[in-house]
Amino acid sequence: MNEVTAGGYKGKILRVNLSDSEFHVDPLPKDWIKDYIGGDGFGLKLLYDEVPSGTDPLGADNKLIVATGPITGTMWPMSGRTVFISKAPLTGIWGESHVGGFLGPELKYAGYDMLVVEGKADHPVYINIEDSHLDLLDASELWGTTTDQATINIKKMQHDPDIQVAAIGPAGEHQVRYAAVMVNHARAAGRTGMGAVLGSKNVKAIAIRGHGGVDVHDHEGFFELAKKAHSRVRENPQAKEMGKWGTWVLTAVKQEIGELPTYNHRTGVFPGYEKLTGDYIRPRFTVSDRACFGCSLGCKKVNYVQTGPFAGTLEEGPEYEGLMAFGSSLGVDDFATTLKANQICNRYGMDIISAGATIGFAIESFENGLITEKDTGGLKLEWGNREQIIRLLEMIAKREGFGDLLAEGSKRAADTIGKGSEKYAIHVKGMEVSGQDGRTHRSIGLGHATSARGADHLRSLVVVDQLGYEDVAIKRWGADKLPEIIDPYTEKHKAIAVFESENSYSIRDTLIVCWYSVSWPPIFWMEDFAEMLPLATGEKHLGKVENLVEIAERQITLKRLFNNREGITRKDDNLPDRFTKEPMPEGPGKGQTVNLDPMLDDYYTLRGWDLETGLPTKKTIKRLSLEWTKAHS
Amino acid sequence: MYEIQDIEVVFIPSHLVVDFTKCTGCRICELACTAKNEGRFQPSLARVKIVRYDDIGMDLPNVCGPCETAPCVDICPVYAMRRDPITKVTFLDESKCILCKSCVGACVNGVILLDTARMKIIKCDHCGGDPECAKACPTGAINYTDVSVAPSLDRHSKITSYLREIERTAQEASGVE
Repeated sequence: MNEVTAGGYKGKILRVNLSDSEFHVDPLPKDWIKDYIGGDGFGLKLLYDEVPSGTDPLGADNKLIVATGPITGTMWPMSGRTVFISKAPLTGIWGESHVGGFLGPELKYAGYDMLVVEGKADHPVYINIEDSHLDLLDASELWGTTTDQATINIKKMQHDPDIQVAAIGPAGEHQVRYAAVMVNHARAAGRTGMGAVLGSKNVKAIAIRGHGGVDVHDHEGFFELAKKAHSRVRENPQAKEMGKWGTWVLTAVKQEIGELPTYNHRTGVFPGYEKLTGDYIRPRFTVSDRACFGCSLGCKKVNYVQTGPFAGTLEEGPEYEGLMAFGSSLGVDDFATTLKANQICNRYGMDIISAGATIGFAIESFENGLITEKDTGGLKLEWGNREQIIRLLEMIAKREGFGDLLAEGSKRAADTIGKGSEKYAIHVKGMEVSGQDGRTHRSIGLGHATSARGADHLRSLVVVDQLGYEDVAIKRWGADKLPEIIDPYTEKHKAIAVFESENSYSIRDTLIVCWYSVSWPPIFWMEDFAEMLPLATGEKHLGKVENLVEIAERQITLKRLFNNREGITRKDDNLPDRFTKEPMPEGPGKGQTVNLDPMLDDYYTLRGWDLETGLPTKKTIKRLSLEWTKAHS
Repeated sequence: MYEIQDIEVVFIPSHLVVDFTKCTGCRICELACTAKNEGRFQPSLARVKIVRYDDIGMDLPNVCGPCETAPCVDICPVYAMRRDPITKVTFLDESKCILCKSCVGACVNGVILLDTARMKIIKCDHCGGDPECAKACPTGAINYTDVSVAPSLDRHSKITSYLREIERTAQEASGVE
């Protein structure tokens, strides 16, 4: 263990300034550990301090942070995750995107907790990190290549197949506002446009190779606990299902409860859903199961198409969100199309949710005559047209013709088109809505509206109410809140469920561990982290749940302050009219809409934010020791 | 059966046996290996090695043995590597090792390493008969078992068909572009 920090950490922040081609290594401030733990928390503190309001997300002054947590690179289940943090090109506010794969552990093995990319290179470069050997290398030859080609070529150039590469594709180079950073060919830091930030800085890729190790505070204790934790994952019945079917299990569940987003969220029922379910896909397409670093669940599926127009396509994915974004949401009842679309997005480096939703927006606007063939360059946009979706994705990634407008995301595209097309842009704060629907699941309505990066299903999605886990609900929130708290069609008590889940997920994002060990299936929760963290770090402070809750609250309120500084207030915590004014037309949730205001009131009260403005109150800022932000002075 | 005493009994020796069709590439084996043998998490010193092919979506676990012949023993110029005639497991006598790295190059599984920090050869010893990697493997891709009952999978046939398919799709893709 090093002297400056606690166990698990490497104690170093690596900075690269592209403008003057300089690398610097800063010590990791020790007081950050107690207040922020790591990962998302460290990145948040750094971004708040160093990227002031008004910074252009695609300008040289924006910074891109790659962060890891104290247990990244250890054997704790599913702890191989990495977070990319920056001011987001898609939304102009707080941006973060977590990704699985193997990048974060390699950064730790190379000896760094974080990498901060600053400035702008005057020609295409890639950042090459091999332990203490740090290079900015020319990437002119790589510019214009797809993410998989770039990854393979960097491994070849460095003569090392074990290098971990995070690369952008043509979408990132063309600064598509929802461009992704891709690691391990098919794992995407997709949302909020982190790929565009790298593209704006002329960085094609970040290549990392580390030969060091990670030392935790109490190795024997931690190793034993980690092995027990793996057993819990291996024995969990829901985790077993996930290992077999991946997130495809969700399609049938969502259809059954009437929440499978269909035709750009117009309805929650899709007649062709069966061909997008795990039962249908696995025996016909899946060739192998894969996992990210240190994961005993293994939800990644490699699929192959044998016949039809997309025959020969071999690709990892898509997840449920991909089945939704390119399947039900665009009226496509064909897995091969979603796989091909997923492959295009992986190669070109684009977020599937935003790409699918922006195409859905275009199709609905076309259907309603707000845009015509004159705008689209002759394309007759329509639901369920498989080849057209693939063509549009390529046009977006390269900003060709009509694709240039769609590359801006649905909100900006609607602002340009005008004529009332805004109502077909299904987004919150500029980020397209994921595969959930507040009408049939009230708590996600509140989550979409309040999440720091926009319509987000990963920061506070409550699954307990949606899937009706009565016993879990009683344990977490008390029997007195039943039955309302697990009734997806009522606003009552939903703020508590969102508040508490968001706190836990916030700690999850500081460690960093995967969604699929905490959120669904809920194998690990706060108590487990409180048991593990002192063994990993030696920090006794992190062994108490109430301290973790305070850290989580600090984190969420600081993200809020970051967004407030960019002008976000209560009026921005809204939902598209589709969810609040258009009742669900069919299915089990027929007639439902979201009544957001009472949930917002409850949520702000729990968070200690002002009911009128949505700004954290002075008292809250003091309670969470955030006076240094000078938010009220 | 009989009551037999004072006789040397030969038990059926176990080996690390891999079934690559079950490997998900999670590298928990590498972590467990170094956690036990190095007291830290450091895959670069693991005695097992997962080779991940992200481009074709498959993963190959490489472990020490079972080998028909033992190139690491044959190549050692100072007879520091020897092989148990019954279990067929190879061992390194560090006191004889001259760090020539011949065994590192000769190992067909690529699991013998030189630790350049401590200048010593790293070589799997099956954790003395209780290998951590097999216990940690979540899918049963690495088993510590009797070789004769293990499925004899031809590890090359599947890769060959994969590679052929990759070549074909790559050609198609380049034809389109």
